[in-house]
Amino acid sequence: MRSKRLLASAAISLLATSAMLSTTASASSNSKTLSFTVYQPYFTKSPLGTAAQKVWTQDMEKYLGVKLNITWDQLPFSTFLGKESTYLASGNLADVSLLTSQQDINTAGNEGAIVNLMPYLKKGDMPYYAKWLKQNDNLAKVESNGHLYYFSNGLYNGPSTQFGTQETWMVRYDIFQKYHIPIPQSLNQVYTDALRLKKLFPKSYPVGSQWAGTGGVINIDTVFAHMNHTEGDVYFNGLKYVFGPSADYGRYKATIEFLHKLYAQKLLDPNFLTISSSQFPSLADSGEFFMVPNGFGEDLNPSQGGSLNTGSFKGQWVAIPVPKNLYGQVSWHNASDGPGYQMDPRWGSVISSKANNIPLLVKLLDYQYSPQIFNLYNYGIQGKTFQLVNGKPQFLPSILKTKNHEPPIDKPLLQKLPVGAGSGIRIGIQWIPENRDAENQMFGLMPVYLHGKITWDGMWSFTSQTSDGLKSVDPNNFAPSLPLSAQQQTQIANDTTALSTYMNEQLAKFILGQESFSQWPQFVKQAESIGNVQQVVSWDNAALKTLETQNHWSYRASVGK
Amino acid sequence: MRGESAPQLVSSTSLRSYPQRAFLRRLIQQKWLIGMTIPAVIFVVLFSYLPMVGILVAFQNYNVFQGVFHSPWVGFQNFQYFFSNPIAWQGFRNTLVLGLLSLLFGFPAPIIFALLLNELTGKRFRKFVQSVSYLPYFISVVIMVGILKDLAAPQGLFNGIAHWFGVQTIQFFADPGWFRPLFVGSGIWQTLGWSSILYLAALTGIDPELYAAAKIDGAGRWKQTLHITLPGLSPTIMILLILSIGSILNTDYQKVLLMQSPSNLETSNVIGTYVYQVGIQNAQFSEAAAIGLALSVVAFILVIGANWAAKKWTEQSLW
Repeated sequence: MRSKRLLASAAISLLATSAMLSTTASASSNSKTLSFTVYQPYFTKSPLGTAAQKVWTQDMEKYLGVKLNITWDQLPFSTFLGKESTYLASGNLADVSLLTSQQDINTAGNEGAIVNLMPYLKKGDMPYYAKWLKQNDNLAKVESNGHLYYFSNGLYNGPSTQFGTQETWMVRYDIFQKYHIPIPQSLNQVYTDALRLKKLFPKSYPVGSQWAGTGGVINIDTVFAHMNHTEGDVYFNGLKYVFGPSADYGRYKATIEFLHKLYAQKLLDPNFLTISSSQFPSLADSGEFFMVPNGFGEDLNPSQGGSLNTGSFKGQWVAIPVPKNLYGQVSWHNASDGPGYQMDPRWGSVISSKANNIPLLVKLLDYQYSPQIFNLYNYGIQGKTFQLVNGKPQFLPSILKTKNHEPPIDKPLLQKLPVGAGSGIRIGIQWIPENRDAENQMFGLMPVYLHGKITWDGMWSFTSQTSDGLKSVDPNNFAPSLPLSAQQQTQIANDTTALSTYMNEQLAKFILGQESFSQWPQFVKQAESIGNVQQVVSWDNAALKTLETQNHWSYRASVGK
Repeated sequence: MRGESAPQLVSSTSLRSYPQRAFLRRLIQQKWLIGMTIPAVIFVVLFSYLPMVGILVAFQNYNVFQGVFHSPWVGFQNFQYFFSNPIAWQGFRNTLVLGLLSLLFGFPAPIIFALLLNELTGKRFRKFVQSVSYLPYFISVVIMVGILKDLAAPQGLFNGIAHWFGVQTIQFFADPGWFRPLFVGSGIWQTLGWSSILYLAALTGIDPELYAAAKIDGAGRWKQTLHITLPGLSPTIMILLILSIGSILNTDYQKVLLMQSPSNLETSNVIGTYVYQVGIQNAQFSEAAAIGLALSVVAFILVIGANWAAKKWTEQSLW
């Protein structure tokens, strides 16, 4: 009996000791295994178990000198986006999370819930991320009052894609050609073309919309406002923060008047307020409209599952250069970027303050910005899908297709590997910086109207080469992360819902002619009142000035103004 | 004889404990019934009472990282902000109008439907109609709104009918005037059959002899409905009416969100969608909680008022 007890005690002691040892192993930076949890989205398909993901793990383990034991909590991207508030409200952050709101990130940082990376940056512990932060004033976009809380979404734009965008103007080229209608080069010409098309096709509404927008936002209004160098909100115009409807010398009002003019003369498809991307193809093929200002390049590429120019449809939709604005200037292209190493400050990976092995996690996330992981993420496995030529990655000829108009990359093959944001299967911890050139190649070719004829080009390369450099980019894309107080941020967030609801309702009324433009001053006054707009603008500009003074540099100079 | 002698043997202490023992005895007698209610009680405590602690958030500048017990108190600031906001008032008005319209048209519809079904003599046909009428209830709101959008599209059935009568294309989902009819109408279509189940069940409880007696007295079907069926249904009607009045402000915000577009915000901006935008999209939990609490108070007053009115005028009430 006694010997049994002794045996049991020994077994328990052994188990307890081994449990303690294993706990120590996962918690110590000198350990063999780094265990941590990750909360993030996946896209077309989870990358877990894929060849590229295995290489990512091997590379990481080699660089860090530890084995990785990651518990992945992954949600489809569309679901993930709507869950951030509830995820944060749960109070249980994973060791590494992707947060999709800069305000949430700064709030979490201010409360000490996530790690401040600035000391690591200053000590030189983040050499790869530091390289991205040094470029194009990226640090100013992501820091908050001298703190740095996240690894932001990086993007590299090479010479061929540097000012590109996924959004493009599209026209029914077959109709334009048949009736000798000039491809519009300005918004005024869009109007005259629309009049001609209306005469030819009285039942049509020559200008249509690809989608209505999300959350009650009128997408077409945003596109036209950007073209005219303004926005229907508080935004950074390259010099300071302004409220579009009351600033910009009436440009915003002119935009809405132009849309109303189109609508009143039945030149604008009334579906623009409700159309969904699933309804778009059938309307586009039916001859309901012939010009679309907010098309997506993917739609024009049948080999990529595009919805236009497919099946029994006999016409031809093509991408065209963005027409000049109402003032004869180069339009800002919707959702376009700048050259080189860019950063989208809206979202990024954060490390929980409660995580074990924080220095090692910092090192891991930093390594995702290294050339090795950057190439793996965007081009796949070296030797299998790409090779380095003069130090630059190039897809292997064996997976490139060049005949006719087929995409130059065999996308299904890449999906099997998988690689890249363009393949929809994103390896590693999000975000790893994207290489637009790789995406552009992966996307394939779409029919475009260029220099008076139809040719084939990539989505980003076409929109980039038809841009006018920085003149085509909305300066708001380069807006810095403003050092606002927590109270100011809360107040702005509170006002946002009421303001956007009021704006969308009233803008729809102006466009549809249910509200007279003589009421515009009252509308602006009411909008300013509901959104405490002047206060927000003054806070933003004061914060911008503080930022510029602290950094002894002028932000406006950095965006080419 | 035991019964007669027992009181003489009971002490004063035992007398006080007698009701307790009786209570215990009843508990033991009804242990299975009580056991069956335990899951429901736990459910209500866990999901209805415990979350009420969250009401505190309405009086705080809540910060998820500080939690309910450490976030700063701000008194009625969130309520003041809400009530000083013109968009919120628009939402409140729209919610009330939508709720009243739903009650006005949606509440009598299943009663009328149940009465009509009750008059059907063909048993198989009646069962078929019943089954068909239940089906829309099981369609998810996303699919239902999708169907509605297709029907109301410029090339859809509704406009096809409109064109037949020479009416020009109607942008149903872009016109604020059409939002309420579409919302209420589709709601009736979806819940008509399902909501009639309770009334059909109540109809089976009416004594058939009453109808037989009425027939002998020369009452036709209309008179029978008026003087036997409706009074027989009235307790069920009153209870459901009181409950419906309490939920007037509980608009189906998911359906509204799906049907919303910038051009119909004038009528489709309701408190539910506003709270969704404030709370879920913008993570302003305190303001969202304050709005929710304010609505709950109004709903509570409405239920009390409806119950009082029902008791006064019909002598039937929830309590």
